[in-house]
Amino acid sequence: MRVLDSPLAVQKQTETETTTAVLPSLARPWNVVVHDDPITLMVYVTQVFMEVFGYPEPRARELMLEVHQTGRAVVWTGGREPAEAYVQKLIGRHLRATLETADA
Amino acid sequence: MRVVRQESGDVDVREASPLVIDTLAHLPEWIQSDDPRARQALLPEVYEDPDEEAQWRHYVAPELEHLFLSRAEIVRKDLGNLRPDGPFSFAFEIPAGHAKAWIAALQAGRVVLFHLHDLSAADLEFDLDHLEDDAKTLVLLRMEVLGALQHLLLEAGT
Repeated sequence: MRVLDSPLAVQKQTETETTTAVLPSLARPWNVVVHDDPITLMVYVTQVFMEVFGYPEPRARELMLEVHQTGRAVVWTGGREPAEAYVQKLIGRHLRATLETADA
Repeated sequence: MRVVRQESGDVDVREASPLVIDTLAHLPEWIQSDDPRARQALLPEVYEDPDEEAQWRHYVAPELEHLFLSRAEIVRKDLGNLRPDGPFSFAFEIPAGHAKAWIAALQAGRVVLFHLHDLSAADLEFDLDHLEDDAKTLVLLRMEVLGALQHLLLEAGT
């Protein structure tokens, strides 16, 4: 999903303003963050990380443990569009996932 | 309850008790529940910024709702082939192509039950040997059933 695709964003801003306001948010890296919850089985979280990101099992398990022990983990960082696609897949599998800018 | 993976990749769920079958039969309605707590649990916030969140929901929520609905239909369809498996238990088959949908649907059921019944992490630490005879205990048992089948399916390598 692109912000530039939104009619609302275009209506609110001039063309020049849109360019200056939106392009940085598209260009800067975004973190995909997965949050701990008391519901989800650890083995399921590991499996989802392997399926969604293609991580090998040791890396997926490492991230799962980080989520479990610290309450959250950045599981992927990169462009906004792929980050949104990953979050969609994670929420589609019912993990708690959010997006934040990597410099947040 | 046992899970047996066939050479074809299809999965046989065997020796499922009436509680297991009753819980699974409710799974589609939980996934499709109109209760705002259920919808919020299945479609949680992604962005802190309200405008970005609104855009995200506008574009992505319908796709996800469609995905959840398709999983509910798969569960309904596969439970339609229920067969007796002993005097007090049942069996049914999950085709190989349905296994991932089942695993995610079981997760959805656990998430929805947790939020619909305002449970806490402490509630999930209940002792199976000291069960109360109340509605909350039944919900916790149903969550256990969903988690057990999910675990068995994952262990079977589906």
